This record gives sequence, C-alpha cells and structure tokens, in this order.
Amino acid sequence: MNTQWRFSAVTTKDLQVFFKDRIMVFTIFALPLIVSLIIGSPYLGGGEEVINLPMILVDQDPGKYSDDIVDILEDINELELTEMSSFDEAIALVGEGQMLAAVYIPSDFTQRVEDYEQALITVVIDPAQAQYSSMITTIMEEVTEPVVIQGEMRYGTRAVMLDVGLLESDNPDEVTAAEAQNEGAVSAQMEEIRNNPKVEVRKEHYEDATVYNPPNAFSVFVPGFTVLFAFFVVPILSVELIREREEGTLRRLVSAPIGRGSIVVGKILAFMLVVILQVAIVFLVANLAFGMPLGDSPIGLLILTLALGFVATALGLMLAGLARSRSQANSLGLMVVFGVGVLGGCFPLGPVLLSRTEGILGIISKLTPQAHALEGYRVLLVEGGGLMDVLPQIGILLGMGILFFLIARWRFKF
Amino acid sequence: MKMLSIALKDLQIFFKDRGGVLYLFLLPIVFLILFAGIGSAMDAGGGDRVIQLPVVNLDPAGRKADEFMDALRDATQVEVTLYEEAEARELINQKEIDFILFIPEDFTTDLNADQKVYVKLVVHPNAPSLDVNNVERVINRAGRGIMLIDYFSTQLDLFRRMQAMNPRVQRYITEERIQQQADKQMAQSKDRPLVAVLETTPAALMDEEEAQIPELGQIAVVGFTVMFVFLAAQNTAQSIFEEKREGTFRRLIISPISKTGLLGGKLLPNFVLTLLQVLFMLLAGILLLPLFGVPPLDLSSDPLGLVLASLVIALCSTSLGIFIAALAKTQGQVGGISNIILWIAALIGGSIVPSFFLPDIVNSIARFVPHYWANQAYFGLILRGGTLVNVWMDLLVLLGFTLLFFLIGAWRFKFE
Repeated sequence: MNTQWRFSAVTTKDLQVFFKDRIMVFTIFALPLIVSLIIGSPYLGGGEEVINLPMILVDQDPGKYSDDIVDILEDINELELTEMSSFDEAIALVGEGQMLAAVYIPSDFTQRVEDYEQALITVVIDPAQAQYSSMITTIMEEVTEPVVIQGEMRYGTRAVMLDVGLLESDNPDEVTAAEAQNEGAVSAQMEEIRNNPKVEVRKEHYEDATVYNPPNAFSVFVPGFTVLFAFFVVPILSVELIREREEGTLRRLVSAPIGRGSIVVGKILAFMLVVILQVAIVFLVANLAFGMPLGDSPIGLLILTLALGFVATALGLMLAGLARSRSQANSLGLMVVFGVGVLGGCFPLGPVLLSRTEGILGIISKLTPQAHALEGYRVLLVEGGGLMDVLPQIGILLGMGILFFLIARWRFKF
Repeated sequence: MKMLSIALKDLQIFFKDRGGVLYLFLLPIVFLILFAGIGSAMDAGGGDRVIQLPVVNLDPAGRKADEFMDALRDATQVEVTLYEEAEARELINQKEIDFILFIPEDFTTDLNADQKVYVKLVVHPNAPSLDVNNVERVINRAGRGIMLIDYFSTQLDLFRRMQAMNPRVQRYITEERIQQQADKQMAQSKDRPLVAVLETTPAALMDEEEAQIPELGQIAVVGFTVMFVFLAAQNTAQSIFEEKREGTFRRLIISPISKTGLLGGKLLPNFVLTLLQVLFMLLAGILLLPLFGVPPLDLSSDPLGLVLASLVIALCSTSLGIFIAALAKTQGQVGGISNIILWIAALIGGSIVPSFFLPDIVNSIARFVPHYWANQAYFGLILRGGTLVNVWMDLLVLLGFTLLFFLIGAWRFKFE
C-alpha cells in the first residue's frame, strides 16, 4: 500500500465522521447564510442602508417658533419622530432604552425668544447608546438656528426702532404699521435665507474612485460570516483529536502500518475539503439568492480558500496540542471562532474591513488570520482582483498555518 | 449540610482545573482589555462620533473664507483638516476619506460683492448617508453663521425702504447704526445664545446633577460581563456531564441525599463561581479601565440593586446550565451546539455589539434570550444611573427564565 492511499483513508473516515454530525454540518454550511440573511435583510431591497434614530418630541409650546422647528425635524429623513404630550412618559421610555432621546420644547419657548430671553430646549438622551443619541443633540443645535436668526433680527430691528422713538410715537397706527413691516421684513428675509442662501452647498459624487466598497451588502456579510464559521473546524478538529487520543484510537492507528504523518495529513486534507466545500456552497447560494458578485478569478478564489482551510486546520491541530481536555479545547476553539473572529472583522460593523481601518483596532485585526482571508475575498469578489493580487494574503495565511503546524508538531502527543 | 459538602467538593475540583479557571476568569479579562483599548481608541473624547471633513481652501487669503473655516471648526461633529487639492483627490480615490469640501477661489470677493457662492462638496459614493446629511447640515450652518450680520443688515435695509415715507427712520437708521446693532448682538450671542440646547440623561434629570455619558469601553465591559456570565452556563452543564460520565452521580444517588439536594448541590458551586465571575468582571471594570484612559465603571447609583441584579443573573445562568445538561444528549453537544447558541444569543441580546446596530427583526428576537434582559438590567443600573425601580421588570423576566430553565431541566434530567 502506498502512503497516499493510507492518508486518503484517514481523510475519508474523518469526512464521514464530520458529515454524520448534522449539527456541525448545519453550523458550517447553513449558519453563515442564515446570519447573513438576518443581518442583511434591511439591504435586500437593494437600496441604501436605512438608519433610523428613534426620538420623542414633546412640544408644549403653542407658538410659531416651535412649529418652525418641528417642520424642519419632520424633513430630516433619519429621524423617526414620535410626538408625545407627557415629558415624564418620554423620559421613562428613554430611561428604558426604547428611544434614543426625548426632545422637550417648553411652553414659553416662543415667548422667550420674542422677549429676547434665552430659551431652553432639553434633549434627554439614553446614555447607554450615547454614540447615536448624542447625534440628536447636534441635530437640535442645527435646527434651532433659524429660530435664533429670526429672534436676533426681530430684536435688532425693535432695538433700532426704539432708538428712533418709533415705538412711542403718538400715532398708534404708525407703531402698528412699523411693527407689521418689521414682521414682514423678517419673514421675507427668512424666506430668502431658506430658499436662496448666500452660501450654498453643491454636492457631487466622486465617480472616479478606484477603491469602492461593495455595492452589494451581501458581499460584506457573506464572506465575513463564512470566514467566521470556517474557523469552526478549530474546535471540531481539536475536540475530535483529543477524543481519539483519550479513547486510544490514535494509539491504535499509530501502531497500525500507517505513519503519524499520514494521520495528520489525512486530517488536514479532510478539514481543508470541508472548508472548500463550505465556501463553494455558501458563495454559490449567496450569488444565486442575493446576487453577491463572485469576481473574475475562480482560481484565485480556490487557492485563497485552500490557504484559509489550511490555516484553520493547522490552528485546530495546534489547539489539540495545547489544550488539556476536550472541554478546554472546545472553549478555546470557540474563543478563536467568535473572539478572534470579531477582531478579525468577520462581524462587519460597516462596509470598510476592520483591518483596513486606522488605529489600534486595525493593527490588532491584522494579527488574525481571519482578517487576511477577508482582505483576499474583498479583493477578489468586489475589487476585481485576480490571483496575483491576493498572493500576499495567501502567503500570510500559509505562513501563519505553517507556524501553527510547527507548534502543533512540537506539542502534540499521540 | 450535605448540599454544602457537594458544593465545596465541586469548587475544589473547579479550581484544580486550570482550563476552567482560564475560561471563566482569564478570557473575560483578555476580552475586556482588548475591547476597552479598542473602545477608547474609537472614542475620540466623549460619546460623539466625529466625522472627518477634509477641506481644500482655494481662497486662503480671503477674510470670509477664514470665518467660514472657523465656523466649520466650531462644529463639534466634524473634524476639519486642510488639504492640497491633489492630495485630497488621491485620498478620496483610495477611500481614505469620504468628503472633500472646496471653498472656491472667489469666495470672499463674491460674498463681499453680495453675490451668491457655491461651495462644492465631493462625496465618495460609499460614504455613509448619515454622515453625508450631517456634513451638509454643518456646512449650511457655518454658511448662515458667517452671513448673519449681512442677513441682519439686509433685513434692516428692507425695513428702512418700507418706511421710506418716514423721515425719522431715514435720518436715524443709517448703515453705521445697523452695523453697530449687529455687532452688539453678535458679541452678546456668543456668550448667551438665544436658544440653548441642553443635553442630559433621565437619571441626571431626576437627581438634578450633571449628566454622565459613558464611553464605549464602559458599555463594552457591561455587555461582556453578561456574555461571560451566560457562557458560564456551559461550564455548569459540563460539570454535570462529567459527573454523569464518571458514574459518580449514580453512586451519589445511592447515598442518602435526595435528588433535589443533589441538583441543588450541583447548582450551588456553579452559582458561587458565576457570582465570583461577575464580581471579578465588575472589579476589572473599576480597576483596569482607567489604565486605558476610560473612566472606571460607576456602580454607585444603586449598590443594593446591583447586588440583587447580579444574584438574579447568576442564578439564571446556573439554571440555564441545568437546562443544557438535561437537553443535551452527548457531552459533545454541551460543548458544541449549546456553546454556539450561547454566543449567538449574546450577539442577539446586545452584548457584543450595541443592539442599535442590529436590524429590527433581530431586536425583536432579542426579547426571547435572557441576555437581553440581563443587559437591560445592568445597563439600567450601571450605565443609565438607574435604580431597582427602573429595572425590576427586567429582573422579573430573568426570574421567569430561571424558573422555566429549572423546571424543564428538572423534568428532563436523567441521573443515569
């Protein structure tokens, strides 16, 4: 019997064992698609990501200035406005985290602006979601600004009129007329500012950009979760190896006319095959069901996926060498899947890969194999790259894999 | 007494198993350190997200352009950086930046000549729409800000023309008078804006104190505490299975200890361990966070409520452990599928990423995992500065989960 045949026997056996475990098959092949579908569902319409900032408005002011503010607020797309009459109820909802913020316009708001006294708007935010709830404060600072301009203009004209004695004229008609004209002038000017500001923004899209983020949201989520779940071979393989060692199967295998090398190679091949099948099936389904682009380089995809399979398998072997018990291997393995996976950027928080962001987060991310696999898929699927463009990623993954493998060889006892 | 001796034995076994100690205590700390570091790096001071706004100023000598730049810099939600045009184009090409704002060459000249000017905002096609809207509002606001005096004098001018028949107006309301009034009001509005927007929190409103806005690192620690407490359920299940596998359970059943006593004794040490873990995590949140420039967790709003909440959460985790042990057929399932479910539940329940990021569907599923309620309780007591009054509902739901887990667990549990 030649050696090749021997390790293929190990491979076949391991594949059989794997495919018998229906839960694992489900985890590896179905979960990436299910999670992608759940997270990606808001994008299925093909439109832009919809972000809503749910807030409550408590407007107790009968005056016109609060009406102006409400009008502007209603035009802001990203706000999900709920009007309520009770400020206390609104605070309670924010306190429970149901709403990001409650905005309170007091009953004397318009009166105070007209009297040229400082008027106060209270924004009660949920501190546990401050990153987003604080946005509502800045939005309020902006939308109150036209009110400020009006108030200042009105007061300014009145001040000048007082100076001139216009408001104490003997002729009440003259006073009324002057006031009315002041109102008219202010309104006209506000209209002008709103419709024809002196400084206007012209927005244009930068169409020549060479680096695009994925136009299809699923090309963010699907590779992310595929790589995340690909690393499930780490706990599976290491638990399986330790079990075989504990049950003495390994020792029996070693005493059979089959080299230790064959056993290891056989196992590596089996789990690499699992990863390749996983990527093939998940990507294909994502392509057919969600229209995720597959890029132009099948050969690049294949080799990158082989490297991914190798590094995950080697990591599983290393863990089997380092862990003392099955439960330890399993716990540490799941840490690798989820903990390291999140750091590697498998759980996409935005369209930009975590490893491509600046700062400490990007640096930490680059230390994980997941990040390099994701980078490779991003280049291949989205940015139109070929095999040559992902050679660095393939190299890094292989290098990491060899390192893990060497540690495994050093520590693993049959 | 018998229960206690089982509990004591279990604790001894646990602390001998270095892997278990690692999983329950060390890994949470590693996680905490990583994410606290990340959190403090992402938080550019305070809770606000700061958007980068690169500006190419083609009117560098102009006074109005200068004022415009200053007004942009005053906006808290953007960070303004000056670039040369070529450099900025290269950066947006690589999507290093999302925006370029061009201030045109004749910005100042045109404005002074009462001409309308257009500033060009170049937007990368993939810039987040929330940021695009925000940046546009900031620019519009800065534009109105620098024109305030002009708008004011135009308006007074308009008024003067309306009063053309009034000699007094024509005589006294002069260009100088208008300018003087505008300057006075501008100076005044700097110290005392006519409309003030006060940001506060529900707890601060109640206690009439200054609002405490937690940082990302602090939020992360609280979420992780919940996640790891429930991961410990897996530990409970494992220890039960270990006992089953070695047949010690069978031996114990013969001994004069009731089954309830046995399960209770099994529960107690794991409950104590979980509590220790909570204590450990919260202490780390107080002692370790400051090392990363993140303020320590503030546990002062209702210490008694916090203790009660921790007891309830730990109890829920322990009974979840029995539930898992009762339903799992093999030890492999305890480690495998239940662990996966616990991680995914932590994700859905808002422990790993803020639930705000997740779509509505996920958020409605979230109510069916205990993590969500535990997060709500801890967020309420630690981050929102609330008291037991605010979170008793969450704790009640958790107790419901506890009861459910325990009843199903006890019903399905096989000592063999």
